[in-house]
Amino acid sequence: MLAVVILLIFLKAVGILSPLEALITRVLSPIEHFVYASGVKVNGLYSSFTGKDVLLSENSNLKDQLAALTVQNAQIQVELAELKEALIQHDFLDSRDLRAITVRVVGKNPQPDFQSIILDQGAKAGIRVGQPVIVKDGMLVGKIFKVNDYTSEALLLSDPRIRVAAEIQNNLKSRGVVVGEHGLSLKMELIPQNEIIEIDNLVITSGVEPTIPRGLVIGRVVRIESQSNALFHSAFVKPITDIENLLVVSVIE
Amino acid sequence: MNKIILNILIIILLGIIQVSFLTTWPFPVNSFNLILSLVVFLVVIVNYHQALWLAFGAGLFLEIYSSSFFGVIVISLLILAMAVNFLFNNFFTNRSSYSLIILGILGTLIYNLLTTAMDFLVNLFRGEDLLWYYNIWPKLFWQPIFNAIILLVIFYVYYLSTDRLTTSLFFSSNSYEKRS
Repeated sequence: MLAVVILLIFLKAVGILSPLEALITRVLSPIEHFVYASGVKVNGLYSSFTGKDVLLSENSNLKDQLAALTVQNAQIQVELAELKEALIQHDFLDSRDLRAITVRVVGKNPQPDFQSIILDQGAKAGIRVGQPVIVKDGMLVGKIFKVNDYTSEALLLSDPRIRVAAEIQNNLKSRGVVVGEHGLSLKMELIPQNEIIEIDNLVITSGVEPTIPRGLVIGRVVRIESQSNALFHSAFVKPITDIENLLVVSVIE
Repeated sequence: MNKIILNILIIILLGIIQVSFLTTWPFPVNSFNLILSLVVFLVVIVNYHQALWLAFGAGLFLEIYSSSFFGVIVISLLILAMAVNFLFNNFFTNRSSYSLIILGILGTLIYNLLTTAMDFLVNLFRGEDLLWYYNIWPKLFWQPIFNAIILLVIFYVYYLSTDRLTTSLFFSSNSYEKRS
């Protein structure tokens, strides 16, 4: 049996298994998405039963409204800042003229130390490693880190392997790097100690990475961690949207 | 022939449940690995060869959706089955739920050690970022616990469905003596 496995590894390496893999993923993708959506729904029902469902629903609606307004606000602020800095107008327009691939989530990586989602499109659809994955109107939820021909995998922001160049919307537009914190929260590191940040400041992508445009919303600062003798301080960031139960996402090309 | 097709369908179904359903549950409930648990269960309670086939088939299915190098999961599952079989034959005296739980915990640790080590070596060999920043608690703590729980559930369901449950289920008895 091990010999067969070694043979299969060789066949996979030379690409002979690719059509079979494509067939399996094409055929099973709708079933998997259905099962995944059912799982999310069952999970949601369970959550509703454990709380006051009316309040939960109202809270959920308010969160959606708040999220929409926050994104709107972030985009307006980015646009204003770019105008003020007299950036070339066509660059600005280009930065808003984004093209995206809409993909369905068919599962998650079963390894418990991974916070990642499996998507039903891969390299054949134009997905590449490093591309940002967003939901709604520009909320960053992760980054593509592995691409097969017909599927791909995106690390969620909560995964400790992820690194996203970010900017805080304070007076100094403090820059840093957002990293996942073991599936629990996000942390923005490398913020210069002399730059003042405040609770509730919005964190957006800084646009330093070539594949990730500026202005995608990451979350809000909920806690600040500073040490007097350190060069940098850190901020804990809470995503505005729920990144655990995603069904459909967009990958920015 | 029909039996082979049925087995393939069962393996696909198990794979879909593992990748698309169990992972939707909140942490740490999403930590348990159904395929791994079933491989351990088959080795200890049912039949070693069936366990190897499940490890092979389900491992191949999981490879399609895995971020690891192709082969890491299937090889780890096969070695896991062999290791659990070796431990069971040499260090355990009966097929009690205690044996199953201990082997489930050991099996989970062996599997996680293998996958992590192989991932590390592949990344090292390829010269890729060593992302050696794993949160080991889900693998070393939560997954063994949840796998042990699901093994206990499978154990009871199996014996209830086969009408062989007795009061001595937890202890060594003639009915559950180790197979020759």
